[in-house]
Amino acid sequence: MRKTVRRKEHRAPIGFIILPMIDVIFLLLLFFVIMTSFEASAKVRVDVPKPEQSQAKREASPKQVVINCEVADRAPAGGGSAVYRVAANPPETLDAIAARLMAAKQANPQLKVVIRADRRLPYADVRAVMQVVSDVGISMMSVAALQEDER
Amino acid sequence: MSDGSQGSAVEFLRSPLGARGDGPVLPHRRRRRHSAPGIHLNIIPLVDVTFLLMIFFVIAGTFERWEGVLSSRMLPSGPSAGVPLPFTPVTMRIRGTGPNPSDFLVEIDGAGRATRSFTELSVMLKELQRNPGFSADTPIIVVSDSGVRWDHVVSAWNSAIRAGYRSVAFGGNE
Repeated sequence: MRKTVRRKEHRAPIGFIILPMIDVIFLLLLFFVIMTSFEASAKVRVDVPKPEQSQAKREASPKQVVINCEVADRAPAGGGSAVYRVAANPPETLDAIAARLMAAKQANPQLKVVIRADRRLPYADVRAVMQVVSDVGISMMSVAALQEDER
Repeated sequence: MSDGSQGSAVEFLRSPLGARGDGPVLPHRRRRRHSAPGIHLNIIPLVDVTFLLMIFFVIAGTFERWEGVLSSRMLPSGPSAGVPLPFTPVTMRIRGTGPNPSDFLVEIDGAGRATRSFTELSVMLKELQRNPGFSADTPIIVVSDSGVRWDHVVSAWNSAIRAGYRSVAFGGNE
């Protein structure tokens, strides 16, 4: 009889502690909000090059146009193996991109172009975009690559 | 005799006089400690949360590298193409050596040898700077075969920047 009483005294209270869960949920929410804002500029998923000891720098400028070059699932009508799109817009031909760049350059002569090309593409497909950029008269161009892992 | 004295002390504590605080100090304190609500730091949920967060961040944050940009400038085309450069540029040629896009070889004009390793390429470019007439301001022009993978072209370009060159530009197709 006495032993039974002691067991009852030492038994931990059974309860659902909700506060840590709320803490975790808020922290996760915060984390995802921050991560989403960082990734906002790269809505189109492109497997960009990963050079050894990358010298790529983080550089976000509001006056830049991002041209994405992806590997096409099917061979495009114009030849080559790439699909081109400006930012997250639908795929376009290089002529349409040239017209778009021309209009953007007239609005902003200091326009900068970032080429986000898939690492598997042949150079000729990326070179075609560079030629368009050069023909429009834009000299400031960057290419996207992964930065060196700092951890 | 001792039993009798203890019994009387307990009797005293249980009496209304002892409970009001008029009795001896020590037993009164002991009694208050037992009756006060338990104020303590419950550290176990904190440890749980910390471990959960650690696991989450290890899984979610380890395998991604941030995306950055390598800045370049396009070589002038058209009427301005004939503007003389202050330094004689060095051309870095990336040649496809087989049907596979991963088959390539990088040559540097004037270096006299070719390589497939981008680390070695960076060393070669650094050595080139020691030659008379060359420096970190010497423009590097990257020229590649059409079929070479973009990854290799960017890696070659990255090697030039690693070697300390300040002006790296894309030329054209070989």
